[in-house]
Amino acid sequence: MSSLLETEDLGKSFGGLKAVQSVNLSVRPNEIVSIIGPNGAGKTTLFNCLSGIYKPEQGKIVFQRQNITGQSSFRVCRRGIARTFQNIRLFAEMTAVDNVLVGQFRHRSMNPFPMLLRTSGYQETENAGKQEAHELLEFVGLSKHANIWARNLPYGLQRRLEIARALATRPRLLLLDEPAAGMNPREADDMVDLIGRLRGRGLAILLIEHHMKVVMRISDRVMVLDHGETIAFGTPNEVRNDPKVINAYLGKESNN
Amino acid sequence: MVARIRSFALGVLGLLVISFPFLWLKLDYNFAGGTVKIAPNLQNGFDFFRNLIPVFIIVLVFALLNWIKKAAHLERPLNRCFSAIARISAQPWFRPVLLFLVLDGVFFMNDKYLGLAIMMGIYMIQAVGLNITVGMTGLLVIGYAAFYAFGAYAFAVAQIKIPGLLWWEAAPFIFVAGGLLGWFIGLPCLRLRGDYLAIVTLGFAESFRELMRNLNITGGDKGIGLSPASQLTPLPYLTLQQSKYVLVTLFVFGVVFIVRRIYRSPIGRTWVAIREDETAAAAMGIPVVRMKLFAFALSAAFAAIAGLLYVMHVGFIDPAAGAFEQSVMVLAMVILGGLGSIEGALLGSAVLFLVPEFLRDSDFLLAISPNFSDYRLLIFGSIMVVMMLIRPQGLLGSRRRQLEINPESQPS
Repeated sequence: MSSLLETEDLGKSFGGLKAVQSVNLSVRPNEIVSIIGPNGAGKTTLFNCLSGIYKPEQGKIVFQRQNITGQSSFRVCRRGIARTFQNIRLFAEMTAVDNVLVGQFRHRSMNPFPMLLRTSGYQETENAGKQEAHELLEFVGLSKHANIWARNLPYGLQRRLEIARALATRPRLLLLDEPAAGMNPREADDMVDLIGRLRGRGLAILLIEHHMKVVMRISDRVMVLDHGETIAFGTPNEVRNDPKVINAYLGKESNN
Repeated sequence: MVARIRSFALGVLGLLVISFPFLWLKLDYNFAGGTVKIAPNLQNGFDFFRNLIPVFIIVLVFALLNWIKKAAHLERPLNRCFSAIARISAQPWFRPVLLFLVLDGVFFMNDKYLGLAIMMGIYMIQAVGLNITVGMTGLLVIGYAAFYAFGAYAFAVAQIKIPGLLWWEAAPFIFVAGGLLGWFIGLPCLRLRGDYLAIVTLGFAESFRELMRNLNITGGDKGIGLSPASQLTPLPYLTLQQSKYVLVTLFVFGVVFIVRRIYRSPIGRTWVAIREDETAAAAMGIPVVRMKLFAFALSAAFAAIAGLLYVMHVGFIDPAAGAFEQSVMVLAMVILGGLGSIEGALLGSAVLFLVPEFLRDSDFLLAISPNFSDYRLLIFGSIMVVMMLIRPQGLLGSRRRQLEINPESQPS
């Protein structure tokens, strides 16, 4: 099966610090790949390179057979990669439904004249867009909160709203940066459920997560990063039993 | 509380120390003897503070209102006052009726009030235009008056080159030229993050004004007058002043219509998204630079149209129209009214234009503060500081902020 996303020898450094070095990642269509690693391992830097926020210094990123290395983040999004952020970056003073509507940007004509004249075609697409936004809010379980400012939503719902906003761009690949961070076990379970349903929509998902339970339950494959380098890449079981991973991530086992 | 009073007292003391040599002392030059003597100049200091009395009154009134609001637990008193109007304004017939009523005013006002209304309309167009960049897109623009002066000069110069040029022939070109100018000014600095646009537009405004003062074609400091052929011809049955009023009113309604529709469209949502979080907006597929440039160009184009109306109204343009003071005044209107709110920009421009105009003729004010008009900028400044402290979202919060109050959807 051909890969949806593939990176070859990807590298990025800040000054002398090699944040990401020669990462070879591949994501197949409709697959959930998790990236784990200790803090500062370069997971978010890798995401920022993939989504065009950083320009990688080495290697290349191929998405749907097209080279997207170093493209700016709005172009990357237009190719079909959407993302959420580790520190939630919603549009705080917009309502939940408006946040999702912003995500639809790339499917909408930006010709101002139909907007001025409120032509019937424009109104149809606007209504269809609103309909779609409400469906997405319902999908992530936010339908009751459509008209609340994003800032005033509870934390867990803000994470869900970020996912809905990312879905509105109709991505092929979704990058989720710690979607279950700071959640209690119940909320984390709900998030696992949501990610499972996302896969049902035919998306491929690249996931950064610290909750081992979440990672092991839903991932098809897991990549372990440490100091910017890949130390293991394989199915959850392979990774779990890899001595290098245990060493780096869980610490050396002490037999006292 | 004690800490606040202490820091306030320290602030006042510091101000007194710094201002002491300028306000309370003067230099006595003895040219024959070639000596300079420092002498106290109490009159000057007293006059200064006497003139400041209106500023203190305004600050006190604001603070008092804020205190009442808190003491009486009033939630959003202004928005509540306006919510009745908001219900009416949602009706489909509201805008045509309002337009009719405002146009009707032409028969009930004398020339003086018509003149005030015309200038107020011109400020309203500018405030609504500036609100696009400052309020909706979150880009600070300081030299907005340059685009206003550009529109005025563009028509004044064009009617010299093309004798008999009429305003409506020039208007589309001035609109487009103003937008292009904004685009060019914005291009280098909107690619960068941060408030470079503020500095660049400030510099542009100052250099534009100097340019107008020093070119031959713009008449230097004297400015240019419109030739009789290019001046407004009165509409049938109306005097000249009345026709100007009708014209400006139509333009205000037109600009508000355009801005409102764009604001509620995907483009407007994009602007607000950029204001809220640029990185996230880019990650959602929004070409941030292009949308910012569009916002800035549109706002510059409206300023140019306001300038055209100004030169039609006054029949004359000189470099003072592009003064820094003008830019600050329009900015103050937008901030006072509420960033991102069209109604707020209209209200802010009405308040900040009309209040000084009416105060100017008031005997009471002249008695307590003889040089009141010299202190206008100081008053704007103090209003802005007080607003930032007690009501940072302006008199009317933006519409999107009001949407937030939806009792059924509150989380339980």
